This record gives sequence, C-alpha cells and structure tokens, in this order.
Amino acid sequence: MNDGANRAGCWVIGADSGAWGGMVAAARSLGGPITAVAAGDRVLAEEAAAAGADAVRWYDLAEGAPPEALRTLLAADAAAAPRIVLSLPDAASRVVWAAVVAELGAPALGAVVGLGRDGESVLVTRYAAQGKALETLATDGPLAAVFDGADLPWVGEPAPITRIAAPGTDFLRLLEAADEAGAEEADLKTAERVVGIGLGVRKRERLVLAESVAAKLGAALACSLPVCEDLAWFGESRVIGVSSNRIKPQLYLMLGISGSPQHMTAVRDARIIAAVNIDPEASIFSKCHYGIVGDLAEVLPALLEVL
Amino acid sequence: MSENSLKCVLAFKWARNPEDARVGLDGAVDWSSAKMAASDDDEAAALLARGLSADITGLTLGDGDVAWAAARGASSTLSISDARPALDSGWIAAVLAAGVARLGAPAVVLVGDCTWEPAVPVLLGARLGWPVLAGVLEATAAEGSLRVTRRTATKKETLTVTTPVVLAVLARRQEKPPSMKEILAARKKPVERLTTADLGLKPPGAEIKLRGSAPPPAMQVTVYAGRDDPAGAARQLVAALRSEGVI
Repeated sequence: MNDGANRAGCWVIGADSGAWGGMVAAARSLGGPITAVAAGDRVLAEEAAAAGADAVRWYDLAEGAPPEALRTLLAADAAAAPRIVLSLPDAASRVVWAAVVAELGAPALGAVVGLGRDGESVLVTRYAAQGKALETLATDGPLAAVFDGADLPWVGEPAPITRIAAPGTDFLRLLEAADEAGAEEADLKTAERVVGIGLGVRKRERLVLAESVAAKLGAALACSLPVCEDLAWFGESRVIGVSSNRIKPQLYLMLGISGSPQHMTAVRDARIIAAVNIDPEASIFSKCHYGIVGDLAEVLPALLEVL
Repeated sequence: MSENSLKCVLAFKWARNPEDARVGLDGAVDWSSAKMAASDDDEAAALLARGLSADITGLTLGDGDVAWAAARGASSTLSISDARPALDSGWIAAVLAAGVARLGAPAVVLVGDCTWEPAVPVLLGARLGWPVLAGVLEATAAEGSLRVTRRTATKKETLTVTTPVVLAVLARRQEKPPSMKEILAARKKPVERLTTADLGLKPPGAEIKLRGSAPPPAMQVTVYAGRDDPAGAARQLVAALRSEGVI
C-alpha cells in the first residue's frame, strides 16, 4: 500500500470514451491537483486532456494489448496516486482503476454521482434503491469511487500529456475490436433525436405510426429490452439500457415505455425526455420533462398531423 | 485445456436487490427486509459457467438461497453465511476473494457484472491479483486460454486471456429458469457453511459513514391530458419541444 492517504489531489481514471468532463468537474470540487489517467490510444488521451484536468498520464498501450494488460504496471505506479481515485463506469476503466485501488488500500464506492467537501471530510452522493433516494456519505481518509454522474463539457486549454509507454503482456491479448457500428449502435449514440419503442406500443400498426413519427423528427429508432426479447421487432443493437446502449440525444421521445431504472439510467444524459403512455401511474411521468397520458393509437396520428 | 477440467467458481447472490429496499417519504432507505438476491447478471454468469465447464463450485454470501447455483450446474457450494454488504464495496470483494482462496485454485471465477455493485467484480480480481475482464458477453475455452467477447463503452471486443482469470459477466436477456427437477436435485448437493471469522476476515471499519439520505430532486414535469383531447395534447407537446429547440 502507498502513502496516498496523505497526498492531496485526485486521479481520474479512464480507458474509454465517457463522461471525463463530468468526472473532472466532480473532482474539482475537492480542491487539489487533478491528474487524468488515460489507458488507451492518443485520441483517448486527448479526450482526457480536454476535460479540464491539470495533467494527463497517458498509458500508451502496446499493439494488441487492452487496457487491462496494464495491471502490473499500474499497481507499481499506484505509489504516486493521491488520496482520491475515481473511475469511469465502463468495463475496461473499472478494471484499470481496481488495480490502483488494491494498492491504495482505500475504501471503495460504486456509482457515485457527485463529490464535495465539508472541512476535512470528503462527501460523496450516490443514488440508492434504484434511484428512489439520494445518499450522502462521508469519509476523512482516502477514497476510491466509480463515477457514474452526468457529463459536463469543459472549455479551455487542454492539459499537458505525459506519455508512458506500456509494455505488452502474454496473459492478455486483443484479437478483434469492432466499433459498435453494426452502424445501428453508432447511429444511436450520435443521434440528435431518438424515438424509443416500448411494450406499450403492442401492435404492429402502432409501430408503423411510431416509425413515421421518427421519420418526421429525423430520429433514430430504439427500443426497450422487452421489445427486443419478447416481440423481436428490433435486434439487440437497438436496445437502450445500462447493459446495452447508453445515449445522449437532444430529444428522447419514449413511446409506451414505463421507465425502468435500467432504461432511465441509460438515457440520463438526454437533454429533453418526452413520453407518451396510456397509464397515468407509469413511473415515467415522474422522470420525463414532458408527457402525454393517452392512447398511442390516437396520439401518434395527432403528432403526425402537427409535426 | 480440456473444458471439463476447467475448475470454475460461480459467485452468486452476493448483493441485495435495490428494488427490495424500502424508501421512506424522507428518503431514508431501509434494507432490513432485503435479502441477498441473484441479479440478471448472476444468471448470465451461471450460463457462461455451464458452457465453460462441468466443474463448477458455487460461492455465495449472506442469507440467500444456497441451492441457486447448484440448480444451475454447480456440484457444491460454499456459503459465507454472516457476510453482509457494507458501505465499502471493497468488503464484499474481500469476502469473495477469501472464499475463492478457500476453494483451492480455480482457473476461472465467474461473477455477474452487477449494476447494483459495479465496483465489486473488478475489486475481486484486483484482490486476487488476477487478470479481470468485465462486461463479458461470451467465453469459450481454447488451447491453454480463454477466448472472451466483452462490451466496452464504445466497442465489442474479442480477447484471449490465460487463466486464472475473473470474468465479470453482463446480462443480455432474461435466462430460462431451472426446472423444478433441477431445483429439487440442487437441494441435495453439498453446501459448506463458513463465517467471515473462519476465513480470517475482520468486519470493515467505519471509514465511510452515511451522512444522510433524501428523496432525489424532483424533475419539473409537464404532463398533457391526451385521453380526452389527443390532438390538443400533441399540439402542446410539439410546441413545447419546439420552444426547447430540440425539434
């Protein structure tokens, strides 16, 4: 274990594109220098550098080595880590972070959305009970946390990047990587507008109406997991959920989707969420900006009239 | 590596289902009636374990049903019966790591990449000092290694990794539950019950304290009545979206 418990500042760790700006902004509220630790290619290092940190440690991966191959190197470099270590929530980032945390010996929290300070104590906020409560936790010592808060773009000069060449390993090798551009997922992730189809659509003729609304809006089509699994109207690449696709469009229009926590977490970064649902008690009506309580068979034609 | 010789540990029911927590009007969270539960990711890990090997041992914590893994292919189960979640996710990872160590030298530990506790699976691997892959969708045994497909934030990747390894498996769909015959047979399979003290573990300290809990900030929601006047509600919604500048 290192002596990071006494070292001010914060490492923000990531091995993939994500909410770097939000994570750095959360760390900034603690005071002290912020170092972004980026495990990936130069594009990732530049994304981290543009997020508002003071410096970037860029682990330039050897050819064919995924970020998890840094395990041994990071465990050694963890001696330089400060008392607070944050991570992006994706699969590769968490593994890289855990290698540092194990050396730091800090208590660890998952899915925190905010950080703050109260005197010498670090305050952490996170959702509990599927988003039904917001907890505040406090610690006076070192802390490791997975950051799952919203992104926050940062405008300013990029931070200086220090390149650290990472050796390859023989225990782990990358064989193939596909950008999720079975085109559909890539298209969902960059779409300005997305229309989500839920089980409430129920009938094919309503799906056709929903597709027409999406076409008028210039929106990509997505669906909830049950629509993929039970109705098979769309493939897995169109599913919105924490375990599938997270999106951040300007507008997410939800048709017949009740708004499960898995689904809503994945659309948290959407600017405006609108919903149409026949059930006035559906939980979506406490989680959207605009809603219509109504029958899709009547509301969809009405929307087509006015769009 | 013959697939049947691949010794696997399947960690299951090591977290509580947040849907089982009761939340008061003041935002206070009461976990007292929430038992350790299997997540969809636990189911996916079980399915992957069965595909990899016939030599599976279950590992579970707390007060959940110890026969869960046995009904899904495990030949025996180790239950660390007094382990309960703490604010520090590292505690559960430490208990699971001690359980894995107790089970000898498995080649693969499969654990759900659980959204309820995203830190635990990766900390488990780090505690063991093993390679970890999270977001795992598929795994097959190949010559002397595993071929693993996993999802990152932006890509789907295929990797080869040597054992021992921790695979944190991601659910993609609802898995088919075991049959009644499998459930009844599972209850006859051996279960070893230990406590955290038996494994030499000390309960976590109070490094992290709960300061308070409150209802989440309410969203400003505007709802239009579309049952009686669908055309009017559609007009109002479209006007609102235009004024927001999103259409």
